[in-house]
Amino acid sequence: MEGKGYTYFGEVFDRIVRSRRSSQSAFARKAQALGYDYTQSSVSNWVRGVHGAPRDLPTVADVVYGLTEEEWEELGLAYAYGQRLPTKEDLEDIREFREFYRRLLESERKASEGIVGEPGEADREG
Amino acid sequence: MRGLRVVEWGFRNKRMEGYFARDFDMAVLAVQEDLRPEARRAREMEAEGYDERPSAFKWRQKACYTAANVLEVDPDAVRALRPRIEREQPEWVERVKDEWESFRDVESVAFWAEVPIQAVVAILLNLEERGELLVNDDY
Repeated sequence: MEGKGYTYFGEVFDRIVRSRRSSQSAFARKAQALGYDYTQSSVSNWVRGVHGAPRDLPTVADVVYGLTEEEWEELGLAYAYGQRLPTKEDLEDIREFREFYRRLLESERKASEGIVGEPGEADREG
Repeated sequence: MRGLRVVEWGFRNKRMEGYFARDFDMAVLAVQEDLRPEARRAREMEAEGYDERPSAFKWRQKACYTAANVLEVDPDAVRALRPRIEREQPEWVERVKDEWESFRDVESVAFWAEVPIQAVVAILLNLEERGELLVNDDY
């Protein structure tokens, strides 16, 4: 996406669109068919950060493309942060925290079921 | 409500005061370590507001950044704080009222009252809604 002037959110969204062999205009048409007031121009503005994307965009993308769990998580993350402060450092830290917290919950679940976890697992809780 | 867990985390960006996620079995607030107590308390109350009203805040994750001025204040943070701030931090309300009488601008009130700016906005909006906010100089 370098050179297209996309925000981080725009990069993630565009990658999903292209992975479906679709396009921004095709997405806009499908969204319109669902009753959303999306146009190719508005989608283009959202991915470039000219205007903030609407809150329902990730949900509409899920309806149109049937996002995988990984895609949904990444698009949600990019939507939440990629429009305003697209720093890779923040996103890396958030991903690291999410991985930590996922492991923490998993280790607690195992402990509650009497399963012994790995030493040092999830040891950064404050 | 499933309960909210608070975990300290060392985000490299010190302007990032917190990160809230509800797409786990238990909602979580990762709060920047070494945050001053007022800032941390404000983020905790904000996260409690998000956790209690998922239909009002439809996203599943949110990063919370410190605001340098009123224009940078996150409207969602204010919405989350307004219903609970007077009940949970009545002393903040009094401090904001006192400083508002002198300054009448949000940034100055936040500085002198030592209350996070998003909480100041929430308090002032509540006061305004009830007609309790002095807005003219001829009071």
